[in-house]
Amino acid sequence: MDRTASAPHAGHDELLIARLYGGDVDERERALALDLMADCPECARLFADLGDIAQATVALPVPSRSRDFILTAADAARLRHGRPGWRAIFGAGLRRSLGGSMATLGLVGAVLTGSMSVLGGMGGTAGQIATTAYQQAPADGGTSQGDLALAGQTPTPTSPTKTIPSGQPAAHMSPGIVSNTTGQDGRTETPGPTVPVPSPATEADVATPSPHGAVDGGGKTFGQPEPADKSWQGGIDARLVWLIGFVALFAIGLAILILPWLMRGRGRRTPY
Amino acid sequence: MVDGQVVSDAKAESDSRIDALGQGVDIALVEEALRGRLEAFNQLVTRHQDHLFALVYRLVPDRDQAADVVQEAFFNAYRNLAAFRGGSVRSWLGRIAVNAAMDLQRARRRRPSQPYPEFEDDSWQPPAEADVQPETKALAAERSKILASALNELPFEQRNCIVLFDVEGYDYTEIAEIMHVEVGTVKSRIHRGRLALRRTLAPDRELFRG
Repeated sequence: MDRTASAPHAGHDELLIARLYGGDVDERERALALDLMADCPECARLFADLGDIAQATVALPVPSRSRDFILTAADAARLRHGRPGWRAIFGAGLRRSLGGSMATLGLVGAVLTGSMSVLGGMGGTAGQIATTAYQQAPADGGTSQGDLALAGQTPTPTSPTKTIPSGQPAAHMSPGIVSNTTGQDGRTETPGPTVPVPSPATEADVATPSPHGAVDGGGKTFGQPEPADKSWQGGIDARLVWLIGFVALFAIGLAILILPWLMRGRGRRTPY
Repeated sequence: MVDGQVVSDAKAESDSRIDALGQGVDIALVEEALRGRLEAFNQLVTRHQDHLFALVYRLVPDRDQAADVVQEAFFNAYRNLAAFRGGSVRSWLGRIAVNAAMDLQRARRRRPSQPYPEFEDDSWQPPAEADVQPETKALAAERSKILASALNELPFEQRNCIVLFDVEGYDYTEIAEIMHVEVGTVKSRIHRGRLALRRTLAPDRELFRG
């Protein structure tokens, strides 16, 4: 390349020359471009090169096609009946709105329900930890501490010890929370830390287990959570159903949005 | 010195003459195909498949992929025959083919492949007249190989515009409609694409000087 010619050419507008070649200039620009080409050999060469390249592009050989593209009767039948009906029913706008709404609602619902489940699950776990610790507490006579633990009562070592009159049924007792220091006369012999021991009723129920759990002296079932106590378990089940529903909603919405795009193939946006 | 405006006008005039010759036949075949005659549509295929393959091959420089694109274009044309609004069947088919090619190009942008494999294969040579000297033939082959490679280095938006304008003779407005962009964008892509081509071909510039 000629350096003496290139130096002044560096500031020249090559795009203007290209536009002149493409016939995309007004009169003023045309005059300017022609002036440039008259004064600058590099600009004139650029214009000539563009012409040569365009001619070479037109002459670029094309290999013969490898096959015929004639449609068979089977192709024609498939193309006539292949268009899915739902695409005609659901326009792109409606489909996007519907799919987007369903996916958003499903996602938000799933996140909220999942968060609630996690929080509820953490509460339940904390309760279970407490009862597990309770089960592991030293006891000297209880064989049904598991039942006691299931009653959901957390022993409080600092709580006042309750005196149990002898011969009195344990119905009035707080289930499973008794002092192991109870003497023969029913009075508390020594105050101190309490540990859970099974009530008589509980012991009886251990011997003859009830299908509904232990029954205290008053006929009241304990040894498993009361209906009100197990509300968190029922809540988890309900939330699980909701969670599955929201996830399904999200998946369906996503499918409505994405599937047509995946199925569109290479013929989309064709101007017919 | 060649005036680009004059060249473009002559090209457009030539293309319009070719279109006018076959236009009546094409329209009649479309009407027959719309009545359910597959043979009529296949006559359209026979009339235009060479042109469409040549067009698509310049956009999608892979023989097999170009063939797939052309087949898909004819499928699309048959499926949407009822939507043909008149005018040039050749241009209508060309638009469908270009759109199919652009879809493939977008896919290939994610999965680049070897461009112009034919030019890497010595067994394939461009067609040439019988009386052409071997040296001229070799030069033409070399020029084609270099130019094809340079074209393939362009962004496909620029390449499409250059091919549609320089080779196919579409005007700016038609290309804008096909590519769903503004006319100014088409012009800019063509001008910048040509400049980029020239820069790419700079080491071999003498090969292209007439």
